[in-house]
Amino acid sequence: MQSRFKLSLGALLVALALPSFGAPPVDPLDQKYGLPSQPAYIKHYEADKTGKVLLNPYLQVATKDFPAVLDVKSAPFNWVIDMEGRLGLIPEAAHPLGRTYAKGFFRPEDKSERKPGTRENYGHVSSLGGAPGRISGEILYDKGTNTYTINNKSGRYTKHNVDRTPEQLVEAAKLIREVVDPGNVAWGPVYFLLDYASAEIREKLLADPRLAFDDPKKKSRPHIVIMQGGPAQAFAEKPTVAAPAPVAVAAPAAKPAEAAAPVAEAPAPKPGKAKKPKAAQNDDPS
Amino acid sequence: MKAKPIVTLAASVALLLSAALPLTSIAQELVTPYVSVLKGEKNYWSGIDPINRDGTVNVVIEIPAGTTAKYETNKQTGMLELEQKNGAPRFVQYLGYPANYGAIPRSVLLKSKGGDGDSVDVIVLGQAVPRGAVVKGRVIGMLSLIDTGEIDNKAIVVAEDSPFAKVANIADLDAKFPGVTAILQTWFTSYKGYGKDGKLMLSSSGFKGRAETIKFIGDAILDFEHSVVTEADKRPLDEKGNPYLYRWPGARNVGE
Repeated sequence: MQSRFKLSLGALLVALALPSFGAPPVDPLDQKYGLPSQPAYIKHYEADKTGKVLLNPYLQVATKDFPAVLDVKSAPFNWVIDMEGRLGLIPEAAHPLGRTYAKGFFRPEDKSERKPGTRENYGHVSSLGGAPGRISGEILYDKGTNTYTINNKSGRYTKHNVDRTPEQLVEAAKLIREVVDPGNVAWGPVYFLLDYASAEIREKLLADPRLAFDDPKKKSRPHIVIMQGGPAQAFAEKPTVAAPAPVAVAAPAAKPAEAAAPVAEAPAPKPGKAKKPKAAQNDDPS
Repeated sequence: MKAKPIVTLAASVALLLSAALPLTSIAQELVTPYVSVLKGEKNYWSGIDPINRDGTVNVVIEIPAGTTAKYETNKQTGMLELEQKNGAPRFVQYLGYPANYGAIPRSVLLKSKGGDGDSVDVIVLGQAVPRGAVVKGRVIGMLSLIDTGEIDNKAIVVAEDSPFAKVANIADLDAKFPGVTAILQTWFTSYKGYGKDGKLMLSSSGFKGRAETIKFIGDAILDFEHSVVTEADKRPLDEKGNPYLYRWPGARNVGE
């Protein structure tokens, strides 16, 4: 009797334990930055004839040990959180396999229309070579306020993904502010763009009292500021030790080390003239 | 990457010729018509990616640390070749290179932009590695150099798995490894010696930051790609000049 009871108890314990053995381990990055997903699409010029997606040659992968550096002259930037939770950062640049369309173009297959002068640039996928990515967006420079704003505008890794949330954008923005050296520029607000959210989240946020638009009359680019701006943290690239001048060299004296110069040539904000920064750069859907 | 050194026929011919010459001219003949090339598994000029997904750059080592033979990448053959000057192989008449020295593949400093038409030159901080090795590293800055009036900047890269691997930028290099920037600046401004005017042939205004260096390298890579891409490499347009929708196998292809 006693042995039969022990057997039943053992079977019960095994049965209770089984589901936890079968469940796949949960990656904390999935919750923090969203599930890694394949790019929603690759543009026709982004892969070469062998199918290889070219990397953006200005790619920086930022970590605490190797912070990325921003130069206002290269803005705007695209950012992507990769599978490992690292931050990839690229400026926009003309793609060597791309073209500029003086008259714009219309593509009947998906009714996609582009304005005259459209230039085919490196997109978000060029920071990962087409690999899966987590939440992504842009870093824009706002001259009026001398700030970098962050948003979730990515047609590849944010839009078309049902699990991308404002909370993930907050986590990504925290990481960006931690591992990116913005030079003499402060961090501006963080915008969650509703046009890049899933239908469910969009519907919910349309009722949010914080809802705002770039143009309230046209109700363009609905967004919510989910994180306020703040000063940039100090980075080591700002000089701590100057490079000693070379010994016995007749050449002109060396300037102090790189970091002695301002990291970014950013104009000071003009009080009273500052306009509200835009939540997104343009209406290119990528 | 493995590399196979190939001593060309010229060297063998030189040896044969020298055997037939009087003793006084043997030493001279043994040295001057010498050609040495190094063939990699891939083309060193165009067959290796310049950057990697983890943000590192690839550098082809042309001159290992401590050596003096001036090898450079031949753009036509894609091999490393011992430079010739006035019919003689070129060896730096100075102390050996203070660090590994090489170039970023698939990059070009266009002459139209003030460059020398070659790849981006790179000083790689780390252990000495063999000629022809491809080293992965992180860009930390750039030594600004002027060589007889022409821009001759050298990007500075820290090799992975080296004592310098954790260096983030030039200020950090000075803080962690005192004297390195001074050594580099002194060596590179001095190794060519004095010009006819009695001044050093190379001059330097110091070091540039990472942002400027990343742009310098990125521009050179982009210039290379633009210089090799032709219309035939691009995907064709329809008869009205519109691009086709492209379905990449690795994407979800939900449309643009």
